[in-house]
Amino acid sequence: MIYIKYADYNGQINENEMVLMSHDEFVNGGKDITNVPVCVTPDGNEPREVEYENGLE
Amino acid sequence: MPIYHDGKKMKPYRGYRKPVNVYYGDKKVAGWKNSTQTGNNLTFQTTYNDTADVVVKGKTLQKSEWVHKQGLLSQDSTIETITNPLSTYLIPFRCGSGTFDMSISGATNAKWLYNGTMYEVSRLQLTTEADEVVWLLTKGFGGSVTVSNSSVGQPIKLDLADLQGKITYRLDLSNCSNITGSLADLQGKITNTLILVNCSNITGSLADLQGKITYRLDLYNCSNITGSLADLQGKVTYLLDLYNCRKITGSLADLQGKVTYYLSLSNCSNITGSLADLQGKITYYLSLYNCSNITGVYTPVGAGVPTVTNLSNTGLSASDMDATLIAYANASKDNGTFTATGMTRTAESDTAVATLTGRGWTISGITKVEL
Repeated sequence: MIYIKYADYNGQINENEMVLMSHDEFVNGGKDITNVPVCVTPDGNEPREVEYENGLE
Repeated sequence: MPIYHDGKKMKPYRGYRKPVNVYYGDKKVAGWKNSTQTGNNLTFQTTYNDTADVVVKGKTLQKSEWVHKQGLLSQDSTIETITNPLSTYLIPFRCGSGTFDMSISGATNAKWLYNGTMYEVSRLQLTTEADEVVWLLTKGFGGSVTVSNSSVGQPIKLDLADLQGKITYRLDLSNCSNITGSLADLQGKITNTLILVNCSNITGSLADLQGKITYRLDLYNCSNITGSLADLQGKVTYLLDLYNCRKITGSLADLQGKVTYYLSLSNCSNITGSLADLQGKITYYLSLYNCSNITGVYTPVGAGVPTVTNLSNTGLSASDMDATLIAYANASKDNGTFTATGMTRTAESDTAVATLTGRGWTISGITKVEL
């Protein structure tokens, strides 16, 4: 997945892209973006990818 | 090179005195052999279910004959006191090259045998060579037998049938990717935990477990397993991981709301049901991605908010997603991850997303749509 920062979003994204924004950006306008996948993190940084799900002891 | 234990030469047997051979590489280090004697009034001792072929050689004109005698099925205890010095059960763990780290508990007088050396420890840790065998020897099994593997990636070549249906409590062969056999080989005896993570050669059906497992069932990436969630009879209470077990059928309702900590059915696209069937009890991990037939709303009850949730490519509608996000926001957990790639929501859940991300959550992959 390729993340496009909210500040760089121009209204268009490609396949396998997602708009990335912080909580503050979501509250201050980002919530109004429609028809594109969005990732909202507390600080606007990319989320940690989980490669191997089952790591339980 | 015989095997010695407490200074005494050992004789390996299986079951009721059936002799077995023990090899180191291609060299026999203990076991049985054929025996020949010549003379009068001959006696063969310490035999087992044997036959004796007698050859009578006379003069040229005397008729020779063969006499075939069937031996006794059991030994005469007056010849040798019957005490098995080694074990009643032998379980072979054919090894790969690397660290062997296996534990046994709940067995009587359990020992490990490797390379002619006996180890009287519950947990054996050593470096093995490829195609050698570590033997688990035990006099018997109690009511709560546990066998567990602690070494990631050790390519043990055990067949589940080698366990002889004697593991009754917990079996963990995680990442022993070369093991073979069927769940049926466990004979429905395991009652608490079965972990066969990445044991992709294993076959059989969930029905073979006979609804006995009550705590943890982890068949992650055992893609040949068949059966239905209904076969578990609603007994699993802590963790159920059937990731990539694509042949599994059934409904979330079959779990009877019993799973409380971890549920992964990702890539099990035949499974149906509603998130409501989970009864809001899962506290840590909920992953149902690519379960396109699952719909509905997950409403946490008490502490039942999964810290990690993945509902990507499921059958949830936008309104299902709105209701689920709102229910998560109404719970008190902070700092979680909610992923739903390929899914939609509406403005109804704007406040919920803001609330959750304000409390440390990541909400990822969802497309907001206007209805």
